Amino acid sequence: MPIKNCFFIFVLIIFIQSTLLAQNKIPKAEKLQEDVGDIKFDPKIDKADFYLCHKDFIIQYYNFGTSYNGGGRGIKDFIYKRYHYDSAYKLATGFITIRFVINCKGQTDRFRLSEIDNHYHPTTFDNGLKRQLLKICKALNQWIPGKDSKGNIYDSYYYINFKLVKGQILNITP
Amino acid sequence: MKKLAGVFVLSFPFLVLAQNNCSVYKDAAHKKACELYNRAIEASQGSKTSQIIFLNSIEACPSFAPSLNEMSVPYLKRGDFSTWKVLMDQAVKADPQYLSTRGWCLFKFLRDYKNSFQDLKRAYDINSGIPGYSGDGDYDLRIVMALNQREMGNYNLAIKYFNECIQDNEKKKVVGLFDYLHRGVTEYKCKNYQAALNDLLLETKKYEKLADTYYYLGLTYFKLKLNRKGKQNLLKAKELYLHSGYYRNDPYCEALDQVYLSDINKAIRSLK
Repeated sequence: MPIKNCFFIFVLIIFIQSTLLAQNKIPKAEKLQEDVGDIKFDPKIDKADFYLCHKDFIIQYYNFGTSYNGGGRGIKDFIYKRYHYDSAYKLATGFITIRFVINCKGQTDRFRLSEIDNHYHPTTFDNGLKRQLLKICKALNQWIPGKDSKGNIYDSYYYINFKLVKGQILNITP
Repeated sequence: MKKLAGVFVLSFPFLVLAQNNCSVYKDAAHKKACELYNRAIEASQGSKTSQIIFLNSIEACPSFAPSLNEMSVPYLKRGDFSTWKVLMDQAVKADPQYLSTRGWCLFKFLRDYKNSFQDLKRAYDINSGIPGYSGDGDYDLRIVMALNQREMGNYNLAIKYFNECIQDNEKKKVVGLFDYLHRGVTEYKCKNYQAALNDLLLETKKYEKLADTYYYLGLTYFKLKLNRKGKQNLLKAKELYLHSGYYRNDPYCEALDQVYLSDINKAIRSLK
């Protein structure tokens, strides 16, 4: 085998190993957010006028029952009705998770998307697929904000997780 | 709120954590990691304070599985499944007893039936056929193994695990709150309507006011050509759902075989 090829294989092995190692490390202290899953305002992609009742206190959807009209079924029906498969998505197997904020008025913003393969390693799927899922999630407009037993209404984080097999949506959680 | 209470309350043991007794550890590294774990769980789950103490605990003893597991939980609940998996895999590597936890989470939060079953089967084999209970306390994990098999289309294997678990727990008088419901729905899907009926009637004895059961009972009676009883049960499902009963509503995720009001209404509309 020519020396040039050996060198190329060596570099490739080092690259794959370092990628795998990077994917298998626990979070570092300096990278931790104030709270796991926090989404900071980004003026490039977020609405500047997105209203929050409690700017510094956004709860999780499961704290005070943030939900959607028709529950999980309502969300699924909405998504399945609008999702269109394209052959460009055929290599997409894994999970796309879209996390966002539902404010105290039931409006949404601060959408963030993450993608992992079916071994739970970070990956990159087709841009068209991601754009479509993001567009559908942004169109969901019947959110019911979280409310505590005293009737106080909260802003909350929510996520929609798409389990994909060859570009088809196999399941949606939570 | 009454409608939700039945199941809502049951789902919260997932959040309740007990302090570890650190004196059981003989070596300094484990003891230190354990003490830090106890401090971490006192802080708000997912907060930087809590996560940093967990990191300190893991630094003190990299194989201290309770900290690896507990640090992973907020990532799971908030949809960062990649980070959750990294931590959870290390917990399992440190202590294979966490196979049960990982298998349960793969089922509940990710609907990853294949990997969930693999984990639970390994836990089942390691623990002589007793893989343990789900994180929320609702299930003997053999029921989850059965549901995993059902969702992968392996109905016979699903029934095998259902039967093994239910027969075992009937002897001990500890049948789970939804076990007959799930086996009944599985029998319904297999078109074994008489077996489905038997299980769903048992479920009504176990949990008298669960709307979900009456919905499936209604469907089953129609399949058995007992239309009057079918209609009665669908109407009862609606009444329980809206007024006097309960329905499944987990705060984190939709449950398998969960029924929505829209399902009940659709079934009632189809009668007309």
